[in-house]
Amino acid sequence: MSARAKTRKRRGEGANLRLGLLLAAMVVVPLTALGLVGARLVTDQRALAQHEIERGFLERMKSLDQAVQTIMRGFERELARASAELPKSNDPSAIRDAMGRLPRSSMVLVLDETGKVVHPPLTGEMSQREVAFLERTRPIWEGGLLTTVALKGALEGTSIGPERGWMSFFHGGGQHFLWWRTDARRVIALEVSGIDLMTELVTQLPDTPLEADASPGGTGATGLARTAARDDPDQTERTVLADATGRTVYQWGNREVGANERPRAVLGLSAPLESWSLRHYASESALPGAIADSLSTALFGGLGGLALALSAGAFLIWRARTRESRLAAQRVSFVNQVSHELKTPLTNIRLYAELLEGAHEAADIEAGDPAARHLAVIMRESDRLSRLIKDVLTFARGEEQKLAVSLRPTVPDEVVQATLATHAPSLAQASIAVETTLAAKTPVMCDPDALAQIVSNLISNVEKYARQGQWLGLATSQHGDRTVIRVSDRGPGIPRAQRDKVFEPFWRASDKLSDGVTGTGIGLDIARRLARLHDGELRVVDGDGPGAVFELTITTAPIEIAPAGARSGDAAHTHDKDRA
Amino acid sequence: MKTPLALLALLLPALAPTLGSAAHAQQVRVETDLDHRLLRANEKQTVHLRVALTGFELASERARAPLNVAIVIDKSGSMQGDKISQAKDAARAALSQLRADDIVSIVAYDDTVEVLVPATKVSDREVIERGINRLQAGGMTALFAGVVKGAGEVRKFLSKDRVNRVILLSDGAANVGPASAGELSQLGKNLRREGVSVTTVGLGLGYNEDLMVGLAQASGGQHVFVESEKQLAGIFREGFGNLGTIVAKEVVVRVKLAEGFRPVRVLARGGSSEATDNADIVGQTVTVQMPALYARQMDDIVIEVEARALAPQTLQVATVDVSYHNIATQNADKVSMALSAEVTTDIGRWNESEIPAVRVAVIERLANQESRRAVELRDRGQVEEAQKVLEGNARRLKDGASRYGSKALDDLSSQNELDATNVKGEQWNKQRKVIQRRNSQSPYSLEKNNF
Repeated sequence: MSARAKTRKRRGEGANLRLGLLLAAMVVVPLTALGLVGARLVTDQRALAQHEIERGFLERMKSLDQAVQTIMRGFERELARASAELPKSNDPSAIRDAMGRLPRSSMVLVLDETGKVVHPPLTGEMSQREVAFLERTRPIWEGGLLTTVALKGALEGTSIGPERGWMSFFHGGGQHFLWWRTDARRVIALEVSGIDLMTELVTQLPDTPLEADASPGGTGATGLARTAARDDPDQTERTVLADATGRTVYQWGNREVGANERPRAVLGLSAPLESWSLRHYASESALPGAIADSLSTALFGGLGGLALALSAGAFLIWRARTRESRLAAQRVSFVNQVSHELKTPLTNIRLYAELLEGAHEAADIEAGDPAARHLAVIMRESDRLSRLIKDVLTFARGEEQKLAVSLRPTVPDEVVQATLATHAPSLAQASIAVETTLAAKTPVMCDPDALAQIVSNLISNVEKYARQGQWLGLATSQHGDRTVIRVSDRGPGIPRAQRDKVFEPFWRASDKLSDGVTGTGIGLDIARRLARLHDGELRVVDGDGPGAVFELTITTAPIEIAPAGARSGDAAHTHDKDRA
Repeated sequence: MKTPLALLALLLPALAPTLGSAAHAQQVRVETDLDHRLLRANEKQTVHLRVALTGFELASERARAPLNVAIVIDKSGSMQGDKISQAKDAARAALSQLRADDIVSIVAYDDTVEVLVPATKVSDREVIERGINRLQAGGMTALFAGVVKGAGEVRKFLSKDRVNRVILLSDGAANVGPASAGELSQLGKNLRREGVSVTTVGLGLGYNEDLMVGLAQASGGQHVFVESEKQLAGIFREGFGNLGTIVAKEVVVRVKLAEGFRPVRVLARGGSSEATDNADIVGQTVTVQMPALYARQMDDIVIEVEARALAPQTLQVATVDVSYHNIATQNADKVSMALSAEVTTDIGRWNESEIPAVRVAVIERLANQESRRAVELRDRGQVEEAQKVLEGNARRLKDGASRYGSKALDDLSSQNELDATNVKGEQWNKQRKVIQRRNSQSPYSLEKNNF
């Protein structure tokens, strides 16, 4: 395969490749764009969900705090009832009896309005528990907070008002609580130990929920399912209640909290547990899982569907295109074969016409024999037909990417003159005057057959479309390695906008123009292709008048020095061949 | 009351020994004695007052009170393997001892608490079995929360007419939430006030016996030491069986001493009575709360009393009120009696008036105290001193045993000898558990592995 053929083949493959790339881009680009937008959306949504969930956690913590407050209020009610049971007198045994009837083991401290402890009886008989109680609460009643409460009423000169509240103190490493209220001229304070409180809190707060029961019967299976659930950290949560010292009092939820794991939400409890806190642990990815996952599922599902649709579309386009080009190729090959088949009978017609002409020439030419005239018509028309067939074959070769030129030293003017000569009869018949300015006498490397075909096509066009101008201008010139051939007419011309389109195959300038004109519509396409094979160009340029001016430029390689005879012989041969 | 009786027991009609045995069988028997029937005249003296309570026999198994039990199982990492599977078997063994109308719940804890079986009737065996099968070990030890949640399940069906218990099985210390013996004793006290007792079952040699004993004792429950998990199922079967023999609960003994007598202290078992909150002395009145009473089992309290110099006479020493909830009749029973004594100048008669049972009880309590002191010494590293105390204990117990012909003291003496031997060396960890358990409950309860 020659280099040129390879180039052509590559060009064909290139076209397919381009189409493929285009179609791929058609699929990939929107998908990528949507994917990016979607990913961004998912990220945003996830962040939003994360935020929402964290707020949710905090809300839950707050409701837990409310629950704790409810527990504290329960204590308050219980203690208020207990304090209401106390006798009005400060008789120790009456007070003890009253306290003994309470469900919870409470110690009671009673102060009078001077801040003095009246129960337990400091100077009287006391149980060891009462002694211990007085000892641990000493900082509160001996000039402490409770003393202040008792004295306040006295200082204000009224009986102590209906006040109540909590105070807490630390003893023996644990936090204790006192709930106090004023009662006429006394302050009554009841103790709630830290353990009492914790017991109540643990009782009321939730326990760790059991994982869904996989199999009611099998120990092993249940065990495994359970392990799996535990091992999946996304599924788990843990809430921790910590006391004033930060110690875990109670926790629930089946998340195993790592040593350095940070809680997702922390909330300090309300008074009187203001130094206590709730901490919530959950895995980060788990949080908005449901939301973001469903979103990304929808998104990627949508993208997948779209990808499928786009791919299907691209495939259909691809198939339509390839079928179209296959059909076109079939058509071209059909025309090609038909043209080849036409060539042989045409050659025979021409041969026998020439033989007839030769026979008639001597004898009957002067007699103005109509047979000789008819013979000339046959000759002319078979010439035209052979040009037509040649065009078709050239076009077919071009379509099949098989168009090639064989370069040899040629004098452009000789080719132009020979071509003009073959058109002379038809030009004359159409009363078209020919004006030539030929200045390309230096031989150049080109394909004379191709050059002749180009020029012949341009002349034919003038015959067809610019007949009314009745004029044909043919000028050649040479500048270095460039050879320029101009074919001008005085016809209607070609509008600037259509100057490129006239080179497209099967295109005609306008219906009006082509009315009554025959033609294949491939002439200019072939001409331009052939020009380009000469590293040249064929285009419509501005002329002096309204008519069209076609300018052929070919760039030729420097001519090799060859014997003049061989050159002229070649040229003559070309000439003969053209004529033949 | 002028009758010169050494002991005058004023029994309520229902308790009169002459009444029919059926009626008698449905009441707790109360006996009150001093260590001598007589008091020495004209001298200040220390006497011991004992109130002994004996549970009556249940008419039949069907007559027993329905149980309301939470089984709380430690499923922390240390329970992995054989222990947890034996614990499951123990739970099943417990079930086998329960009646259809009993209520049971199963709670398991590690870092957190899971209620495997919420309080449910035993007749619903499938639910319970499924809960038991869920047990799997791993994690930390939130003992406090486990007990509280177990108590929460018991509370759902809390009734005076039921035996309300939390049975805690653990092989380790608590390390999540409140974890000191003091805090858990406090919890025990609170639960006791509500009418829930906790029986703690310590498994293996790794658990904290002070915490487990303290919790049990404060709540009025028992502590059981199970050295090997293989014994677990058997002990659960026995213990749950015994739960059904509880005939009285919420037993409160109130002793009001007469003029001339002053209560000094209650000779309590285990930790100090103040720590367990079971005894209170205010003025002349001693109030002691006792754990439940089991059928045919005796339990007693001993109060040390100081009597001032008295002229010869017969006088009332104390009035004793015993109140309890009778499980068989579902009644709140109350027994009141008065204790009188004659003051004599005749030392010979005084010597003869000794009551061995009271002396035995006193010796047992004093040995118990000494044993506790020995443990404290050993805990401080004073091994030799601890050994001496225990050896002295064994000797005194031996003397007492031979003097009063008491098998109980003789057994206790041998046990103290063993304690003294094991106070040194590797056996101490185990021996300490044995001692702490023994010191916390009555010999009867020990022998029966009461739950």
